[in-house]
Amino acid sequence: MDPRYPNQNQTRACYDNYCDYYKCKRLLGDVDDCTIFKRYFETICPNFWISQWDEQRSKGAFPGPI
Amino acid sequence: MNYNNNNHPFHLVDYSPWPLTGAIGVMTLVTGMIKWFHEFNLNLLMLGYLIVILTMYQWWRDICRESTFQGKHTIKVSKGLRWGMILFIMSEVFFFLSFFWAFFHSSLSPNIEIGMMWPPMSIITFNPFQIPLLNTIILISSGVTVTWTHHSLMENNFSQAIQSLFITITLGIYFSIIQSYEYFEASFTIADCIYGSTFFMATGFHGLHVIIGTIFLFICFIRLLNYHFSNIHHFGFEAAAWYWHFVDVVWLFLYIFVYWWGK
Repeated sequence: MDPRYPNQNQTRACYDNYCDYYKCKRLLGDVDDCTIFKRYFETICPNFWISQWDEQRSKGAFPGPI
Repeated sequence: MNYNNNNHPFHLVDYSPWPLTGAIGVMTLVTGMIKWFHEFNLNLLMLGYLIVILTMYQWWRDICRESTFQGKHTIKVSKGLRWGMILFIMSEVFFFLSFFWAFFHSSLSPNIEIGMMWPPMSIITFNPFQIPLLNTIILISSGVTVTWTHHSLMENNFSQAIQSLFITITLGIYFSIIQSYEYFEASFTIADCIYGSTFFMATGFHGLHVIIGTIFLFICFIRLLNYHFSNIHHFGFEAAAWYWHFVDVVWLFLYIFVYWWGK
């Protein structure tokens, strides 16, 4: 339970953690500190969102701040 | 002095073909638009434009004849026309409200697909403190000059009425030219995600209304030069001025929310 996302719609929580993980990897490299974000979004994000965003990232078309 | 020889102050209009030609004209116009969309043929649309424009010219010319030359517009009639213009402008307010609704729906809770941010990822917005600010100053100034025209009219100051109305129209044209330049120079198009759609629908219809308002003011200018208005009876001009203020207010909302808040 993350109090920053109190409502039933957890879209923002999923999206923020996905962005934060890849931002963390970009800024700190491949360190263990980044894995909390990964675990969070892998838990709550729908899988097809993750695969779609991974595809966009590989093409450089991901619209989020990473 | 009752110039109309009746025991009531209302205007029972003579038979006129323009409502019918107007109906035929707009039907031709929209059918022509469909033909253009589907078959890339402009002929019917052009015919529709022609019929509508001829209708507008002749119908409004007849109204000028009935009012200025025949004296049929009593105070009662003028009051009715005022109500009519106010209700029409109200309907236009609701029209613009729908585009603002679309804008706020998309921008207050941006979708994931555009990066949950506004403006969306990769959209380069206009700097609100450059050309859009100039446009704002132009329209506000034109609101001042059109009020100057009204007061000149009411004070029987003919030359100042002409000068100020001329300046108002020039400012209106200046706005349209600058805005079309902005459209040309924009880094995004109407097809560029929801930002482009909401931006161009809202500002596009506003621009169309600026052009309509400018033409209305220009007709008033012609009428003014031909001595149609008196210092106590000039509703045609007042209607144009109301419409112009409405256009100005819509722009202020656009500027504050679409250009400034939305950047």
